[in-house]
Amino acid sequence: MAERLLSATQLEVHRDGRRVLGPLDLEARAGQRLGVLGPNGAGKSTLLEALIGLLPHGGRVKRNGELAWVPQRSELRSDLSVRSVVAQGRYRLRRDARLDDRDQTVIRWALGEAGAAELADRRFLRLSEGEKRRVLIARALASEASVLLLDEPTAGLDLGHALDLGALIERLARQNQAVIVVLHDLGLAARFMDELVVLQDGEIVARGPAEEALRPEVLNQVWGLRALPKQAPLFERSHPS
Amino acid sequence: MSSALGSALGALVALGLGLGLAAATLLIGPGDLNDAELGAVFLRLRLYRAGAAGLAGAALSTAGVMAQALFRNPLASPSVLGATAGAALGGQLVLLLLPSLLATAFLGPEVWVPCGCFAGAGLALMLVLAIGRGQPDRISLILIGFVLSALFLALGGVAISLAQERFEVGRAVVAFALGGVSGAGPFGLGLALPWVLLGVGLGVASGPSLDLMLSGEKEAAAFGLDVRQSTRTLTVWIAVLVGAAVSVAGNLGFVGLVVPHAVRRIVGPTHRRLLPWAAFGGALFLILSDGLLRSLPTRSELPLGVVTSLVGAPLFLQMLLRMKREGELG
Repeated sequence: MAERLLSATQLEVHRDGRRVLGPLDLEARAGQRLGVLGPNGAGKSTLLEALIGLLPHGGRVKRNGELAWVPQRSELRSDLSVRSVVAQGRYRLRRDARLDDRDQTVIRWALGEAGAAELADRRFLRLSEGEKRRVLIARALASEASVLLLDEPTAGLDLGHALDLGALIERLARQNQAVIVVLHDLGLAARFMDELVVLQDGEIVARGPAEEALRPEVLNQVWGLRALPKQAPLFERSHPS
Repeated sequence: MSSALGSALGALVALGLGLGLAAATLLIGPGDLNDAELGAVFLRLRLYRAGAAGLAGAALSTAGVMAQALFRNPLASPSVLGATAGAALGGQLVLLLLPSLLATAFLGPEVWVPCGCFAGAGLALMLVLAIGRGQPDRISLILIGFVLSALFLALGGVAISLAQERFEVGRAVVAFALGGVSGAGPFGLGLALPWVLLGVGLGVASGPSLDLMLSGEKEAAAFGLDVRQSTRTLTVWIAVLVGAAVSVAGNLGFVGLVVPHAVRRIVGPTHRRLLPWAAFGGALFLILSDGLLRSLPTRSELPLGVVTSLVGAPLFLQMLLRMKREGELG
């Protein structure tokens, strides 16, 4: 069985004296693509932040490798170049040392993988939301972490780039990384994730492969939805972007 | 021509021009430089002045860049945060109280005044951090700094009126409040120089950490920065730099706002590039301002702090209005 890179036991988060997440158990193994679903306010982002250690939490989180985080949007309000933003991903490895040739190679690779190579010399604040998203993904990739946590990475992306992101996630998983992705688009989740976790009011109400986690009663209970009998048209890239 | 060579040449030209201009200020102003003996005295005094102005400018500008990264706020600067007013108050209190303190028995006031400045700046910064609980929003930060400045200036006013009982102490305390380098001497400069060099060096060396801080506490922590430790280190060094600057040049406002703002526009926001140029620009700005002041045909010299505030305050307002227009406040 693949190496366990991240495991949380009895993880819970309290805010203002109220429990907003858990208690829940979760693990991510090398090569796994784990989708985290749920309506607004279900605790998806809280789960990611607790896993990284950005929030005080109860229970135990065991990290067997480095984690990299792609937030929904960056708090960065200074006009750094895209290259400098991606270089932030190297901080854990390089601290304040000057970046060497290998760092530059990794940064170029990360920009390329995230579909942001042509943005390298632009100013981060002048990018569109979708472009910023790709740069933040490149920053996370540049950290060479073994677990990648993405918080709604497809928000603000056009369908083409969302599909590219799905392909990237599959590629990373093949390279034995674990990828945990918060998604709103159930279709993309079913298509690109191999396991789904459905959160409601901070608790896991369903988990497993798409057909199991998104079974009719879960769709109805969590989102008030039902699947249409006829599949909506699916798209794929006709040529590389 | 490659862009690296181009920017290196540009940097050399800027450095050369700046140093030439700074040196030229030594020759302007009243005084007969043809009389060899007198000329040497004038040059030495002007060199001390230029040295004090340069040190204070470099220190305040560097502290400004650090404060802007620490608070993620381009409007943060030592004077806006109340740190220069705090440092000036610290220095004034030492001048006022020193004669009655045992401390003078061991070391002279030249040593204790910088300590008072450092303590005052440090206290102001700690109050801003405590009241704002880390990173307050942009307007709250300015308000907290404004209130602290007002408080420190008021206390400084009390110090000034108490100091009037003794002429020399009164003069020194007032000079501190107005800011200026006319009384600069080699001892004070020698004391401040290593701290300013260390502070600028540390700032440049921790460029990537400062870059990462710009992304906010959560992202910085997620990518491996010890935010609490960095906040502590930066706070101490901002206080050291402001203390050193105020001890040689008194209360100078807005240098740490105006210079980083201008330099950032030219060399960009990446700290490894920004910091050395901000330090150089700050030094040049104050040396030139002081040189100009000396050459004005006025009966008595305008205080240097008055000039920096006359330049800085309108620029601060302009930045504030622009940020309001672009929805960047709050």
